[in-house]
Amino acid sequence: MTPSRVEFYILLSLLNGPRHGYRIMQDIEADTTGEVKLGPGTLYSVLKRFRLSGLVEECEADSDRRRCYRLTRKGRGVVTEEAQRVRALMRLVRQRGLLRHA
Amino acid sequence: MKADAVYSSLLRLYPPAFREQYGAEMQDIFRELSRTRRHGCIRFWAFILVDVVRSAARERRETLQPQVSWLLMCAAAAIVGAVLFYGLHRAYGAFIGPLPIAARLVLRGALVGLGVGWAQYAILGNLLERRPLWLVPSVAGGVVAFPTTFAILELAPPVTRQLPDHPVAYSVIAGLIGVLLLVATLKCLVLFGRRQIATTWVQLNMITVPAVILANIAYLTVHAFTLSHRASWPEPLVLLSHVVMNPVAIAMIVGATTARPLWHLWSTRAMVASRLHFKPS
Repeated sequence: MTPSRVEFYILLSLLNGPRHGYRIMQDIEADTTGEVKLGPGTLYSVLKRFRLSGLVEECEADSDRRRCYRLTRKGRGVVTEEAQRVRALMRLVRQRGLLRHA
Repeated sequence: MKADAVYSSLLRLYPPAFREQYGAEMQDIFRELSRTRRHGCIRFWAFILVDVVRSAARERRETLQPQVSWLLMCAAAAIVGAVLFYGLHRAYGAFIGPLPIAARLVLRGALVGLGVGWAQYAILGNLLERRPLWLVPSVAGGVVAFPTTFAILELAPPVTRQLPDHPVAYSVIAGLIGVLLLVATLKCLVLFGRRQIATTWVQLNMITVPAVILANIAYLTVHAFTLSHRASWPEPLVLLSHVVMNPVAIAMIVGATTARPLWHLWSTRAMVASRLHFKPS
């Protein structure tokens, strides 16, 4: 599975540990310095698909009784695979003389 | 408070199952967002509206997808079955002679069974371990169902012999065929060791018999229409009406009436699979 950009950000946020929905949205906003802003509909639509395909599982509600989500082993595998793909892409970009100092 | 009520109404755009599972959390997040928003009211609501419309459309589409594919599968299965039947029938007639009525019934039954089995398999394939075997009981069910129902009508008292010309009688035949196919499917599930889903399957298929009866009435309507008009039709169009229109009329109604229970089974496949200890693909 190749995650889309938004899906990748959600998986990256969950790499930090279990998160509830609002926290995932905050993470993404901070990670992208506000460039990517998720709405609740998009977020839960993606989380539902992740849950059905076994990338994410629900965990016990936190003190505010909000449901948490965490990565499964399969989910971690997908993030790692995507990160490797991005790394290979970046290597190619540098070889072609773009973003030499990035 | 007013904004909360508006968002709550917007949540109705999502399918009920999605709303039930995530609606409360989405509402909480919305409250949080509207409390901490840094932009103006219009920009905020534009963001919320775009988010709701896009994600609700996606969820609705995903909900409909299996139902639409079921309908298409039913139609495709019926067309393939009819094409095979007419092809074999004509080939046999051209090379050997008229096909005996018993052989015609068996062939028709086998092809209907194959079509039904194929359509079911297309949707439920990921619940089955021994996939190719799925078609066997369906074909066997069709082979038994067709000659049996026609034999019952032949052996019936003389008064009821007039019945085959009546739409209701045709529909009863179709109903009996539906029952026999249901039994074949049930047997298949039990044979595969799926006793737990066999019960669910029976409940879901309670709709099969009325669906087949309805479908047959639709078939007769289309058939009557084509009969009264096709004298003026060119030969290819007559053949097309035989091979495509009639089976599609049956398939679409069976498909439409069984789509919802199948969607229920499809949407709970992960739960069913986890209870039965095998992995859905």
